[in-house]
Amino acid sequence: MKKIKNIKITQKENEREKKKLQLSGSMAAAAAELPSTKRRKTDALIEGLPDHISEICLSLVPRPSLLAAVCTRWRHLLYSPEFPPFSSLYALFVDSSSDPAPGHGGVNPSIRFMCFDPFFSKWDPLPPPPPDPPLHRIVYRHPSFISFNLPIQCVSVAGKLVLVAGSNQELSPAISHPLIFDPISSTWTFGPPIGFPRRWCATGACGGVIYIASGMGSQFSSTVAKSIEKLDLTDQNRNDRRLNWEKMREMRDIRFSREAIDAVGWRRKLLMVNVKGDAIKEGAIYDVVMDDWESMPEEMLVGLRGPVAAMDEETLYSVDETKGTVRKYDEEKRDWREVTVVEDGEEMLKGAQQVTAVAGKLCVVTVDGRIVVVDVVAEPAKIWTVEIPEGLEPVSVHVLPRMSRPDIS
Amino acid sequence: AFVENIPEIYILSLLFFSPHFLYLLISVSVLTMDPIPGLSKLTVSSSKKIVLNCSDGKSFEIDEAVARKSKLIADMIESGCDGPIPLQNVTGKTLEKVIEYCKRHVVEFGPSDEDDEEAAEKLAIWDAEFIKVDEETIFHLILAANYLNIEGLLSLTCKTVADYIKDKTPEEVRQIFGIENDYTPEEEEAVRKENVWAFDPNQ
Repeated sequence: MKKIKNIKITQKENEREKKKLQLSGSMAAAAAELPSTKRRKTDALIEGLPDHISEICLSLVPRPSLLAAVCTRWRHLLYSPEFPPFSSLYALFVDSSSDPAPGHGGVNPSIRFMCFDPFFSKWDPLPPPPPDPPLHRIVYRHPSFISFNLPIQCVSVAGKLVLVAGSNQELSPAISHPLIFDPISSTWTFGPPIGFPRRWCATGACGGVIYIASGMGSQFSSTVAKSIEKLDLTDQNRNDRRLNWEKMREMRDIRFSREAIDAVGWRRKLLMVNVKGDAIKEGAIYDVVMDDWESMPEEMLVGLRGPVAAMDEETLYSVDETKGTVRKYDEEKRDWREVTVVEDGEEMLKGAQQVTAVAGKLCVVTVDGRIVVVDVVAEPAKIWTVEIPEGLEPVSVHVLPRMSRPDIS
Repeated sequence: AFVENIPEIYILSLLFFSPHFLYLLISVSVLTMDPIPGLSKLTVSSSKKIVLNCSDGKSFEIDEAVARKSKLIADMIESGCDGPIPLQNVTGKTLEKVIEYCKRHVVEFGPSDEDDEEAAEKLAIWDAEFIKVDEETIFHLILAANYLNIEGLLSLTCKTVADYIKDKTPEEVRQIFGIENDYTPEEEEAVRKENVWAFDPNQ
């Protein structure tokens, strides 16, 4: 009931306000009459108000794209570390045009993390990670695997980007400590050591906690294959207690270590399947609250024909790898509903490999190196591609708070 | 001896332990020793008035509890300010409106309004009506709330300005606040594009 009232009031108010704008006293005129305002051009965010108050007012406007478009001073505010950050698209790329690193047999492209700035419409590189290099060690292409690329696994969790698994030249886990990027401070830190460093594992986040499940070390081991551990990144006061990976209840069977999987946090559960692509899949669900495993219902499993993501950890969306169809899971009816997209939209989504869902949009990476965005709020859903810098191949995309940029004018 | 044949001690003890004397004793000790901080002030001065003088000469007399909604005034009272309080930065018209807000928001002794959902909703509706004023008044209210340090009023007025902005186009916002467009045409083109990449939280 309240919602309807608000809409009616806003419509009436909008009409009234439009008249007000045309007739009279803009706030500028009002501000000019205030005794505290000097009648000259000021650098104030809002003339007539002290900046710290204008910042409060602007921080309550839930439309960063509007604020950025008004003037350069307002746009500068949007990038300051203290101002509530807007969300940006981040991507992990491999640079196929770079020279092979010395000592590696064959071309191994270097890894690049970049962030797409929506208001300048360009990709910015993230600051370089610490030189003690998991990054150089991570291998994307290996002579033993001609037909596909080795996975590099990243998770976005609690507003941070975490690099958590990859393989090195010896085909062992390349990462023993997760690399964590915090956009607000624009810094990289190392997380605590992983209990069983692994590769080809299922990784995902739920409620600000990152999980690694199954997978293998240098060799297959049933202990690792059944294990799951978690790291709580929501803990603000790291000084009080040492953050550590915590081992949780084991899986019941060991058939999960076959591929690198993006596990999806959905309604306090972590969903995962054991293989990608067209093969027959098995699903598993880890209940975060009960610390227990359950099997995935058939009606859910049947819709997982490609990458999956959960919007707000509430609504599941899947993209069909072969056909490009977008589907949404209906909890109540326990089935998948097709989401109508604009004509030829599905063509663009074929070959979908990874997807992330935020604020009504799905961001998809396809096997032929495209980043595609689907606006599922619109009906039919709108689709467009994001331009990618020359020579870069996307591995995964994530949506996180923008990096603070005090240097932006 | 006051009275013949009765030792003074008996008279004194009668007097001392009489209920009237005890009452007097207790009241005096309570009022002077102040076992509960502020209690003496409240019991003695629940109707204590504070006078506020504003910049254009007007005077307002209000209950102390209402005046204390302003942290600035509360601090002044704490540090012993007794007479009329001068407020050079607030005009009579604005102060009247501010006082109206404070009166409605004074929390009585007992469970606060927040615990009672119905009361909270009523308060919110009152706030929404209260803030339906012209732009000039909103600005005056923000500045007054900031100067007088009235948290609730500052939040309410800032939120109102934000609500005013959020449904406008960039050009309309510039018009309202008298902001010059300092983008080059190319920059403006880039920023004003139907910003499809931006993940605005409220669609």
